[in-house]
Amino acid sequence: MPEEALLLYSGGTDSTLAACLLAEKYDRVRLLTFRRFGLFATDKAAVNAEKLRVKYGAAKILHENLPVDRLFRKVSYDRFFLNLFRHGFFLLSTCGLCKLAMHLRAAVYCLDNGIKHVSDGANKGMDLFPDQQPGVLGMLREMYASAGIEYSNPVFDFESPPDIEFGDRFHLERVPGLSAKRDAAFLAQKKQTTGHKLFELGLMPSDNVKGTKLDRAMQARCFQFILFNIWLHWYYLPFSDKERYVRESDAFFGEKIARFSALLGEYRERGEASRLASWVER
Amino acid sequence: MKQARRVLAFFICLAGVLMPWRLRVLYSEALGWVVQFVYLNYIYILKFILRELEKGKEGPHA
Repeated sequence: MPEEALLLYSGGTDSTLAACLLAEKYDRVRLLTFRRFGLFATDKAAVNAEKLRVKYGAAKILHENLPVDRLFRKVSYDRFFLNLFRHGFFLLSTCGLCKLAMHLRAAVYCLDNGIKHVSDGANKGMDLFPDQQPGVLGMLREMYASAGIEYSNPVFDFESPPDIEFGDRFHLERVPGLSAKRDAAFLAQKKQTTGHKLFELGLMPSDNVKGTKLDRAMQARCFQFILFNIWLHWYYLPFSDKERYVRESDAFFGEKIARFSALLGEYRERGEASRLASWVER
Repeated sequence: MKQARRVLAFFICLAGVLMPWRLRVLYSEALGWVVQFVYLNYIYILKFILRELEKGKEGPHA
């Protein structure tokens, strides 16, 4: 029986490189993209999935797009008033809650299909998003382990391209030679980014496509991070610190993951008669 | 300034956190388009000002 891995796949550079790394290790890689109300144009993930199928073979790379509306709603609004009282505006961590719904759907998919390995494109550079913080990733690893599934983050330690503010980019464009100087300063770091690796593998036309038109053409669009960003950057962080944010985020997601781990356990025992099964759209 | 922004953020987030999920999605979507609109205006106005300043620097007969 071929050894299979499942990948939570958005179509962006991080998850595409994760797919490449898995393709080198496993006989077959199933790419799962998720759709729900508020996530627009998730079919764009097929752009890079197709490139992967051409590179590694259509039999090795499979791509599916599954709905998670009911699960997302349940994960976000479960025990709403209790959570509102205990965690306040952390309830607006939509990206983390959406990702938890996707992980639950992925776990159910693995249990249904006998897959023992799950990965995603989580990266250390995205550490303000709860679903990519080491503490939360550790809890997710435990959740998967409780269902007999191994969870890994193959591109977690890759570098992120240096973040350029609009003003700086403008400045770089207008002063001759400045862009080259800046690139030279970040050369070593640049070679360790997921974009650079994909460029080397011949899957991207340049080594940093983040924020470009091409980037927008290969990933879904979602504006729900705006509310989270307003809360985080205008309300929370200017009057607190990152350590406290990570701590409180871990506490909020720790409770959520523990609750849904128990429901995943119930799914393993009772299958279609379980509560989790009633929120899973096939 | 920071305090005023915090108060504004509080009311924006309070409305968002109390909404049912589909309404919250639409609310975020509307906020997203407002932010895009402001950001793009900022970019194009700044680009226009810089272009005009560069033209002025080159002189009236350039």
